[in-house]
Amino acid sequence: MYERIRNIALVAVAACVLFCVIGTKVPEKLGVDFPEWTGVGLDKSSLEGRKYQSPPKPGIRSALSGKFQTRLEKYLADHVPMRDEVLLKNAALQRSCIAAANTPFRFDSYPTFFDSIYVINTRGVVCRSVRTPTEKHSEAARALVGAINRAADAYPSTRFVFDIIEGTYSSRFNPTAKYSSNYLGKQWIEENYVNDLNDNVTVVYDEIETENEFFTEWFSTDHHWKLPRALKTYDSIGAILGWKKVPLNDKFTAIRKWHGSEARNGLYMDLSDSLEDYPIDFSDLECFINGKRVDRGLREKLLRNNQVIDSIPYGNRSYFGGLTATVTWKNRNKHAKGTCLFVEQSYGPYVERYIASNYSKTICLNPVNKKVEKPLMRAIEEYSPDTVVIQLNVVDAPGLIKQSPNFLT
Amino acid sequence: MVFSSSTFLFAFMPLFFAAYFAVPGRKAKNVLLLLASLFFYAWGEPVYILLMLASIAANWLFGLKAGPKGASGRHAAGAGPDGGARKGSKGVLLLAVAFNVAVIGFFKYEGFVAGIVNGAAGAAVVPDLELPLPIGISFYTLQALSYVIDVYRGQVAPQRNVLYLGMYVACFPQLIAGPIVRYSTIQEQVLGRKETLAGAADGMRLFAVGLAKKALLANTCAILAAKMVEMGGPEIGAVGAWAGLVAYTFQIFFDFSGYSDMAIGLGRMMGFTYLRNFNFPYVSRSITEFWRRWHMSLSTFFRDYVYIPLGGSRCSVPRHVFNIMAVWAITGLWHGAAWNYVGWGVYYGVLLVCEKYLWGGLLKRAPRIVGHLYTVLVFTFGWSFFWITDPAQLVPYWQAMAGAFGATGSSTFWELTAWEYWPVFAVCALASTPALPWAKERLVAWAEGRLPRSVFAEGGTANPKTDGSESLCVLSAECATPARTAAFRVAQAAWDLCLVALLVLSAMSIVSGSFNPFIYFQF
Repeated sequence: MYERIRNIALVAVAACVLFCVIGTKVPEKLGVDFPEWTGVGLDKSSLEGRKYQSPPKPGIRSALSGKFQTRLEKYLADHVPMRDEVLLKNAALQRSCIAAANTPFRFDSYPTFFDSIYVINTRGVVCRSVRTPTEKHSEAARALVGAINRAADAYPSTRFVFDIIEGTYSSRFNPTAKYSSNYLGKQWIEENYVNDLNDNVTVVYDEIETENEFFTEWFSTDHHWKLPRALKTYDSIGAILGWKKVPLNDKFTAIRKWHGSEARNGLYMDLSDSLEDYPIDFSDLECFINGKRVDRGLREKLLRNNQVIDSIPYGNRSYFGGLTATVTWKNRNKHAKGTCLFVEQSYGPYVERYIASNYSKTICLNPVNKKVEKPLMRAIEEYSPDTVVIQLNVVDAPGLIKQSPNFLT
Repeated sequence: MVFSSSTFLFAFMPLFFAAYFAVPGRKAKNVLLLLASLFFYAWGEPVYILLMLASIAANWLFGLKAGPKGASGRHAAGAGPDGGARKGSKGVLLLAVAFNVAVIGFFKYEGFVAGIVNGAAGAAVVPDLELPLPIGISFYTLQALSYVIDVYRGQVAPQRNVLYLGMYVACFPQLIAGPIVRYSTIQEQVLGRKETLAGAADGMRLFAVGLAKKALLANTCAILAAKMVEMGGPEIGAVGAWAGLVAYTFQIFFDFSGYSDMAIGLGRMMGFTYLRNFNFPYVSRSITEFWRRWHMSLSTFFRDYVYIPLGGSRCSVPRHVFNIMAVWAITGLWHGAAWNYVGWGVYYGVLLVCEKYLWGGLLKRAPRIVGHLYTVLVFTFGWSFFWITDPAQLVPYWQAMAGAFGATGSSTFWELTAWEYWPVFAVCALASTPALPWAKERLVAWAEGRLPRSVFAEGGTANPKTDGSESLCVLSAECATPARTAAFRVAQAAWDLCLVALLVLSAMSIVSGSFNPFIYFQF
């Protein structure tokens, strides 16, 4: 009898595991509601920042090519109940194994799971390992430098400033830099960018200068800078271009808790960040996307309503604005003159408003977004800016070319 | 479709078994198994399914015609009137062998042969058709061939029902990665097997162990192995090279034995009892012993169908050496259509000859640790040229192992990431030994009030020739006292909880393989 009960229990539990997808998907399609914590019925993942695979349509052609099989595999894996929890727990198990392995070696950083490019550090940050420069980085550098030089030569009356953000990936204070035999850092950037840019392009090498800066002025779970650090860069560029200085008073917490991309991609959610802002009034500015006047992110709405967010995925992007291809700021202040073309990445939205407050019109172009199809030269021709500010983390330049291959032609 | 995939775990397996246990009657179950197996194969090979169907049909016909004729004129197995084995039609046998060898020869070795011929001729005499390799062809062809040969030898009766033969050839548990199941093993089970709750549970237990070996151990070791070979000898140095090779040594064992366990477990759930395929080969004290423990279904196939027909060991020494070398060259070639596999086979052939005629006696007399270390070094090194097929990569890798590029090559120790894996290696090393059967035997012996038997002998406590692998996962005993019964039951429940945990962790690991965050910059 005992053997029978034991066998039934084992088979029953195993069946529950094996039927977990079919056993939840079928009732869901029939209208059964599942609690949110089960993850059943979700069509996208905030952890992975993507939509889940929809049910693949069977077809002879797709079966013969293998596409149906691949999509079904993805669909089933995507719709495992509590998928995010599964990913996080699996990573946690691997991490505990790595932490145990680290005991005799006492490295201050170790990967968040096997084969992860993200590490956790004893000083309480999760960051990406420094990168080895590849031929793709060299190609991207040649393309980017070439495009900027050509533009600067073609428009001699336009002021060109190139802000090269060193960022946490290339900094010598990245915890993995000391463990690396060869990484893409300041020396490589100077050899491949700074030294090759023409004299009519003003270069600002935006370096992380101290270890304290690395660990306090950049997010603990994200590669982006906190606003005070972003505004230091704004001041550096502003000193060259004559921008208004920003009074940094009354800093407040706008978002109490969010997990940055390093935490999400590294599957390490034990750390989180808060997001701070200054209550600076930008009511003279109007933001237009695709010709429509919109709020750029949640900032203005939250300030109007005196609200603070407790917790939100993609905190910085949600608050300041995301990777929109083209954003136009118009300044109703009569004293603001001129046009600025701001070529940015995800670091840019932190300072867009501040830059826009100096000009009558500011066009923010984000070539990370595939919808930026026009080349840089065409954009300059179209918008006739007085000033072009390019602000990029050049480690990501190969990706930029992949997303918008026309941009640097 | 592979067992360690979401499609198999969360769709095919549960739906198949739900239907299998729901369908009444042996014949219906057999037909369902055949259809499911064909679907399983077509999932990965939507075109080559036709080749499999042709192979089934051809071998079925060969089987009908190849066997010895009985007094009734029908084909019959068993001894002839003089007591010796009855043999069937040699012509049909030769045709069957030619057909099956031609099938595997063409689809697997056409490119290899074209390369040899064209290289020798200095011109493209034979076109390289670059045929994709049909999944599992090396397994199901040998399986079908063994059936026809056994029919010819009168050892099994020909299967008159083409659907049942198809079920045997295409049976999805062992279709892609073995074990090579002899028809004689399952002949009675085609119609005579019984599905029971205990069998289903025991099969599930073994499946969970096999899946854990694959998903938790093999796949983890594979990460390091792949990284080391990708970085290459000069970048990784001696530490990286040896760590990578050790990782691959564990990867291939747990991958292969895990698959075998899953196959045998799945079969057990359906009432089939397959023979064990791996018997803790990494504890061997000689290469001779290693090959009696590793992939036993393959080594016994080549022994019974190639080595013994060539004369085996009952011949002169030169002929015996030739037989060994021929079998091992073929074994190497069976593993892959490339010279490194042939070299790997010849490597073992030479070592087996040397153990037979040179230092085998010395090994038996040496301390156990010496034999064990010798065997570990031999098979670990042997895996290097089984694993790295490109000589341009292999040579620098060997140089790195020998220290030509220093301890860590051009990388730092941290960058190698090999340091992350030593706890995994420790678990793998333990799992490679019969530690669990040793503990189980002690527990069972205590429960039954007797002395424990040795598990380290070549056969362990079970006879690998007749016992299924599920005996390793089954914890049962005839307890001597009520108190010991109660304690043993607690141990059984704890064991089942561990197996469930392994199943869940394995499933989690497989799902995690689909982690795909949107990172637009991945350089």
